[in-house]
Amino acid sequence: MDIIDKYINELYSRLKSLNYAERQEVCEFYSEYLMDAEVESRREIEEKLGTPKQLAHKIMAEYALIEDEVPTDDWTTDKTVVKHNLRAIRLIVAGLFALPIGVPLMIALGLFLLFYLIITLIPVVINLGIFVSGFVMSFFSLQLLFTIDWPVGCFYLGLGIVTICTGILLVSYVFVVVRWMTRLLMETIKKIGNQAFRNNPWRHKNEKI
Amino acid sequence: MPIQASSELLEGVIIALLAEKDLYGYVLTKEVQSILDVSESSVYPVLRRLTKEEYLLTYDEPYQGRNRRYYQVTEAGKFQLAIIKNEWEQYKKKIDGVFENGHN
Repeated sequence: MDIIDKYINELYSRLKSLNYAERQEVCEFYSEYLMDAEVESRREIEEKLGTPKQLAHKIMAEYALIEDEVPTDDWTTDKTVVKHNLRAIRLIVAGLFALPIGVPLMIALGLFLLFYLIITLIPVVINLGIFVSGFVMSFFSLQLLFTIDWPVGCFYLGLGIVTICTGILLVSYVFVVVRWMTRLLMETIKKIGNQAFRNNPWRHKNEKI
Repeated sequence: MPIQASSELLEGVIIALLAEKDLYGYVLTKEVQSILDVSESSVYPVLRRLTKEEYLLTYDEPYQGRNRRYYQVTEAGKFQLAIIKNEWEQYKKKIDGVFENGHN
């Protein structure tokens, strides 16, 4: 009894991301399961279900995938959906660590992240560059306006303003790119998660979890 | 080497076992393991998914001062089982065809 309670308590404390009802349900299931299995030692429990940490990760990753059936067409404006996706990704990543194939998958995931980060940052940096050059041109040309070179000043002031406006116009496009890339990133992570869990969530008995 | 079960097949086996008789977690897991090569922590996620999709429903029965949660197949679950059976038949036919004739 005591060993089962201890195991279940540890499991419970590791399921923080789930709501109360879900947590209760999982723990009731495994508590009943272990009592019916008449386990006598901690080792016996862990041979069946893994450590509380491994089991919790596996459960959370599953939950993230099941609850993920939120419409993805119009989620970019909806903050809660973005939050939901982030939570899902966090759970999947946590789950991946618990798998024996975790490390190579994590490396693949890391490379993906790096790739998307670079692709996403390029337009942001270009746009920033446009703004900076526009402001620098305007600033220096303002000083020229009150000298003998005022026509040159006028020319560069105009050019500066045009540059700044171009930057403003481009902002919305940059947002589109960033949003699109973020979405692609989330879908890729979900796909990796699906590969690892949904298609083959039950591993060979002898493999640990 | 045992053949790895797909998620549809595991769902099908679970519903089929429950269609015969209502079972609780431990016994169901043991029965599934006698058919498919799956780990003990694989059954709960499927049960939860099937319950959420209303293919299964649960009820509690007291046992030695505690509860046992039994799983029961719903009408929707029986329909789903028919679909999975049909898909399995087609799959089996294709594989048998290859094994017996080399190809198609």
